[in-house]
Amino acid sequence: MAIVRSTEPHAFITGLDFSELPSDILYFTAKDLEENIIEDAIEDQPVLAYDKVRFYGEPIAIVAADSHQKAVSFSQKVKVKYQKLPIVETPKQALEPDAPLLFEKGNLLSEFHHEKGNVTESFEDCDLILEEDFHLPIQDHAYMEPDAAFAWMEGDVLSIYTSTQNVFHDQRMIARALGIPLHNVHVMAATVGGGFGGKDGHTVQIFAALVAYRTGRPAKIVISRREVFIGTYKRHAVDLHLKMGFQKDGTFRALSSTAYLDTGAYAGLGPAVMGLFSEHLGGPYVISNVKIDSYLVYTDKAPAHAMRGFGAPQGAFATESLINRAANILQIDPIEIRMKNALTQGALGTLGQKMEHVVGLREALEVVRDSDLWKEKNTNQDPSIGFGIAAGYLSCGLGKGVPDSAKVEIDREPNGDFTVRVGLVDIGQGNATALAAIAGEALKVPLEKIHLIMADTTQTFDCGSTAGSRSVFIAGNAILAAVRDYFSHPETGRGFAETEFPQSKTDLNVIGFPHAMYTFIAQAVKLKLDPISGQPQLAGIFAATEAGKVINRLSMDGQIQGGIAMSIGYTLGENMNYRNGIPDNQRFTVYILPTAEDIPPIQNVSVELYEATGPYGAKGAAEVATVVIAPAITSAIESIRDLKINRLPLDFEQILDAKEKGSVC
Amino acid sequence: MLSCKINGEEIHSEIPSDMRLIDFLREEMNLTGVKEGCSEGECGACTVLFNGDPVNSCIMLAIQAEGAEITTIEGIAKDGKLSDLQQAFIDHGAVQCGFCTPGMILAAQALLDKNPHPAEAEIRHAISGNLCRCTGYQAIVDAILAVSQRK
Repeated sequence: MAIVRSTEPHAFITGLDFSELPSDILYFTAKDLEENIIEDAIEDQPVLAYDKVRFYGEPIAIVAADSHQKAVSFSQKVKVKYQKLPIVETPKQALEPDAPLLFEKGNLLSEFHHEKGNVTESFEDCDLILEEDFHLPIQDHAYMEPDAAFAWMEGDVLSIYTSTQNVFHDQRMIARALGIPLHNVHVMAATVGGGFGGKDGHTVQIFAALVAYRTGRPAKIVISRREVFIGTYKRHAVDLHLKMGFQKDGTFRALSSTAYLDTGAYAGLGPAVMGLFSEHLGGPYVISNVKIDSYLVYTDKAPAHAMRGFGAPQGAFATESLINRAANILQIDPIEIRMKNALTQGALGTLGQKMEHVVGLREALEVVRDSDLWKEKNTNQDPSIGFGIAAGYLSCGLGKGVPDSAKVEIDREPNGDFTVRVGLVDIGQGNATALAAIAGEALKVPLEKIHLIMADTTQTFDCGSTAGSRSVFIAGNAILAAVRDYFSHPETGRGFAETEFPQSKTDLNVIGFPHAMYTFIAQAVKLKLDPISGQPQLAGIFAATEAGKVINRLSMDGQIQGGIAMSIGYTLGENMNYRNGIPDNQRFTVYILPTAEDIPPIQNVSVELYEATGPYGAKGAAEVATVVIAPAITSAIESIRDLKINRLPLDFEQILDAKEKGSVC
Repeated sequence: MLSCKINGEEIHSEIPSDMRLIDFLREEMNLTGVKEGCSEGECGACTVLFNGDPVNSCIMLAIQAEGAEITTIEGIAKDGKLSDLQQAFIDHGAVQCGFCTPGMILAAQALLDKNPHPAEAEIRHAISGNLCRCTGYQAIVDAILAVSQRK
């Protein structure tokens, strides 16, 4: 199979010509779908574009042949006629009165406004006000396994293996697009080669399903790396203006922000990302006076969507950067200034949401303060070496008002083993290991007697998506409840339970937030700035994480180390830069992921507080590590060179060439 | 006609002259531990050992393997027993999604075969042609170090 993709970023489709395809090469367009829509919260994206394309690389048609090579070469013979339209390149341009429109309803998809306390008055009382414009780039998930699916028919039933984060969503999307009953679509997750949010939606599932359904023959699709870059979901680019007011003693008194999130051509999970961006923007601190204005805007780019950290890293970069600069100006230790303002259990977050669960931020900051890496800051006199720190948090669960539950069944087998059915996908982060351990512990049997069946629409129940740092928490709790059910009537050999994620008691009247629970981090970095290239050489990272009790230490450390590495890439060079609607970086040769030589030794220490609502005291941990390493790195650079880094990724030459003190890079 | 040794076994096979080595291994030999992540020699997921050296099988033609000895991840375990490196990857949590793992283990094996006691920097250099998006490399480096220190 191959996909015919748009070569224009914004255009009307005026004609499709398949005349050069021989009869044994099949093609499929929007007309072959019963309903041409990707099922989601906001349904603005067609499975296959038919009247208009809104980004370069948008799928228009599918070509199928008896070999991949043939399908690819004939897909290039399909002629698409376009009537070009002017391009919308940036959110600010998109909101200008005479901007070209992606949709008739306008380019503004959604907005969020929140005010707490009195921002105008409180800024007048501040001893120090800092404000800057920040820019964060588009990042690609860059999972190592390109998106893939394999579908086949057995009678009326369409079966499909997908590389996915949610088989039940796949099932609904496929059934609806093909117009077939839900029970005739059987979705199983393959061993997923990484997701990070990028496989939490439609990638290629419907394409493979369409070909198998229409032809009755098995259909396999694997897209190329270039297609992953140009055609799949991304992290939102953000332009924001942030203003923060401080008192001399370091108190964070006021914060106001105006932010524009670039959601690309279609909504995806953009509105939820804007929600989490806004919720996490102020960081894990008590700030009494807050005004947040966020705008989610369409542009002619690949759709931005969920990506590990889900809007939090963008805001945290700005906030943590201003906090570090304020600490420097006020001559307060950067750990002390965070300790002073840190959220604690029962305190109110920047949106006014109560911290209803354990909060280990101060403990995490203390662990960093006592680390060898941070202590070296006071003794190392090398002027080319710098140290930086930042702190952050990330919510667990899907947020208030969003269905967030899991159903688990446990069956005792004749030989005394147990089958545990969990409708979630392990996308590589190890939730299978953690869930099996929870089941084994609760059933009081060794791990080898636990047989997990996961992510199969026929053999498991809908547990929602592997997303939102929720899977171990929600499925772990469901397993514990199912085990209790089993022990209440062991003679039946079966236990079943459904559990809900805790919901915040704070009401903001917006679906999806606030969240009931957060995971906390403090991260410090040591680096050397190369005087020739301007490139930072990371020498070491020390992370302290509070994610409740740790179920599996190796998995936990792996999540933290991996999350940090992903955001080191975000800091040092990853960037889907678009020029005239076409991404510059469509290959790993130019979209540079960090290698083992770019990533320093990373040590993680877990601050193990017991979260009473979690399975064996755990919270979610998969995403939080991505949130603040970028501002820790830029703060370390700013401690060496007197400049302000307000955009990512770093521009090494600009850092090197900055002559004037306080230059903005 | 291609004649070579794959995982210790003599192979003779009629193949098209433009067939890539990765396609020969995956499609003809069914060695699906060879992974394709980028098709241009950047990510290293398709790494195999070619006369003991790690190569990207996505940018080689199968006919280049004439007379060569090719080792894929399927040839690393002996008699159903995992190699020291494979076991160390498990013990250190060096596998998350697993897509980079076959190439990573082969690149590390090639290093240890030539340099049994590498420094950490040499390990990081040896696997720098193999991208991993999940682990941050720490657990992978730890696993390779552990094996190198054991011998």
